[in-house]
Amino acid sequence: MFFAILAQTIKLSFRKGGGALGAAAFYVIVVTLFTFALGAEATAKYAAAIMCVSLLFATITTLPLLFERDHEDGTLEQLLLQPVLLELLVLAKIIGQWCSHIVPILLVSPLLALMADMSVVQMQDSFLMLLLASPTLVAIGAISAALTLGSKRGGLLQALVVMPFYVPVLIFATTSNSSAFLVGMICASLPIACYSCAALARVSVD
Amino acid sequence: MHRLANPAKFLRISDRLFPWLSLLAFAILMYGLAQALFISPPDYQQGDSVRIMYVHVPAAWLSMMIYTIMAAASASFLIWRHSLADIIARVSAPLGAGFTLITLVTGAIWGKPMWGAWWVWDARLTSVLILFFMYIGYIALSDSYAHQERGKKICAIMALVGFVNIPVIRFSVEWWNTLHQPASIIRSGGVAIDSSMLIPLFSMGAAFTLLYFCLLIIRVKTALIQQKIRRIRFNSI
Repeated sequence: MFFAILAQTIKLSFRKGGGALGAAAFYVIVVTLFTFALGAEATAKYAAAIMCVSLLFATITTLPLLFERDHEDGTLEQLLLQPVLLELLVLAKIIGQWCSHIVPILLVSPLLALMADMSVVQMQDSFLMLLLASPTLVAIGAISAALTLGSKRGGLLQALVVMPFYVPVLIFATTSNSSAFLVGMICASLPIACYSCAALARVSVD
Repeated sequence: MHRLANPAKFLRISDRLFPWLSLLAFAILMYGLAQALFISPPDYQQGDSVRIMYVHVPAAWLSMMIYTIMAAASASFLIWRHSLADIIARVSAPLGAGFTLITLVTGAIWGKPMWGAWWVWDARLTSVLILFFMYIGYIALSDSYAHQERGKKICAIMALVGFVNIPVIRFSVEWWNTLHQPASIIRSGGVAIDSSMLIPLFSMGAAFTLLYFCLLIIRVKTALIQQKIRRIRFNSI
């Protein structure tokens, strides 16, 4: 069941209208916009921070896709009826979302790092930071996506609700030698996200 | 606690308490202000600008206490389904946001002459700013679910998730070595402030707390009356 949901989430997002590569495209566009605004020199200096912020924005754009469609077409209700822990299914959805939306972003970022003229060591560092920060971003984002299920103006509200929780991630993702902190945040945020998303999903259906 | 959770009982008790509570709040506020603004000595380093602290520190206490109360009320709403707990959490949010704003503004006013900058990105300032954003997010969320039964639970869960920030604020000055001075009241090794400054500080803290409870009672009463009006309107359609 867990792997079925995981596979389904990934498959659906790569099908037509799934928008998996849309997030990566959005990410590239935001990074490029920064380079236009900052100029070449500053871009090279702040490339790691720019990529972090762009990843954060890209994650926010993917949030409405996480539960909204399942909520609309009744899949969520069916999931609630399954004899499997809902928390596990939420975990599958979060991992699936990370695989389908965030991994393309991670894959494209070395390319952007090359364009920003980063050295190989810098590139490795920033890639590691993005890799370790992104699961927490998706997990926290899942909570805010579940919070606004069925609310009329979900998109703006989601961004507003999720921002305060993203600040610590951003701070640790842009300071050096904080990979242990980021791993710790993944360990803390995933279970919290699973439990609260499951609770919110139960609320939003009845 | 559970007996008080009945709205009718709450109204009766709070009606009886309110005049005394508000009188007490006013008296202590006047006493504290007199102490803070005139009687207490100026600091040997900071001069008279230390007096900002008597507003800043109590407001900061309140900003954290109100969020804690919101989280506790949300938890008790989720566990025991007290409708009053939900109302307390929701009407507290704007009050908490107000106290947080006072904290940030007075801190900035104090920081300009002392640190030479209105704002620095230190751990405590940043975490209090995050707390402010959290209040704003909570208010936006509870507005968008106004008068919906399931919105209550959703807001309660958001308040509980956001509670992780409170210990971060409390210990930020100890975990990270930052510009904001460490705690000087509740710390191992006893209080580090002279009583001439401690008395106005504590009386302002007490006055702010009482003020919060007075405002809370007014807002809870308003919310209950609004609920009744809505019910009457709904029934008459």
